[in-house]
Amino acid sequence: MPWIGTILLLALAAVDPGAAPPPSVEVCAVKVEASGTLAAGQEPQVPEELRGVRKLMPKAWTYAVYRFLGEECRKILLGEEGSFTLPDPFLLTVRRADAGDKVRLQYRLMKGKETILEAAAGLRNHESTWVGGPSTGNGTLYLLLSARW
Amino acid sequence: MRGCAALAELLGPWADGELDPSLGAEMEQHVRGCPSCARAAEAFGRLDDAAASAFTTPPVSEARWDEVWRGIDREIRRPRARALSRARVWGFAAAAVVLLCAGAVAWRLRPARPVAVYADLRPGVVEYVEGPSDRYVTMLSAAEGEVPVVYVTEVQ
Repeated sequence: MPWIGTILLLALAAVDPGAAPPPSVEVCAVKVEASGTLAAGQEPQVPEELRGVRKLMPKAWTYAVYRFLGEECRKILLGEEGSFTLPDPFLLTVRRADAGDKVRLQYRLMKGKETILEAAAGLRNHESTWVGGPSTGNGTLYLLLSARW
Repeated sequence: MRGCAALAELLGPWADGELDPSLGAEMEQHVRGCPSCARAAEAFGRLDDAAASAFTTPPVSEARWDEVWRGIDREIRRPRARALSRARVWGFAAAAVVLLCAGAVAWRLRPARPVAVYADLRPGVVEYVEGPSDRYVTMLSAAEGEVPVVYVTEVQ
């Protein structure tokens, strides 16, 4: 019976996990500076602002001190770009180009006018990825990029 | 002894007690024996009484004095009240500035996000990594179940 097919299609549409992200997606960058090497049995110093981020840090990280450098969030529309200020001379620009149910963030890390990294991350709602490694002079810079809608 | 005509102009000063004693005694003696001067002297006396009563200040009641003192008190307090209100305005302005500064400091020092907001993040997927510069090395680390990390390191 044709109406059964229609109902099934409607039910599938209602629970479609592959729905495209909305026009406006909030992209956030949490800025962290890590320094020192953790001694055996020592607990790293993690400020209050980074307590929620602590469990997202890779287990391989053995930094002794983490500093919270700030957070920036941008509402980025499809096909548009947002920039995030980092400790001088670094800059991060993020362009949004979605693919299916994911937000694809094509990002570029600049040091002055030089592009030192180009990468892309496919993120569903509330997913995140780290990018980092450059030296700030006082430690190593890391950014936790996330998307939510 | 002087006659009425000579003493007539002294009746007023005599009635007011302004003559020296010898002249006053002469006037008194004359008025006793001269009915016309006695009437004139009596008229001067009535005139003095009328003038005195006309310029006498009536007594002021306690209620009126209270009202007067309240008015004076208000006048004394008015400039002080203005100064106080000016001080209050400055006080409010200073308090507003302090509150604004405190708010700005609190805003600057606020935690970026509640801890729980970050805690709910999950690992995403890194699709590609590229190192456009020869002076930098890029690397992807994506351990199972962990948030992937893209490293970029400057070649020394």
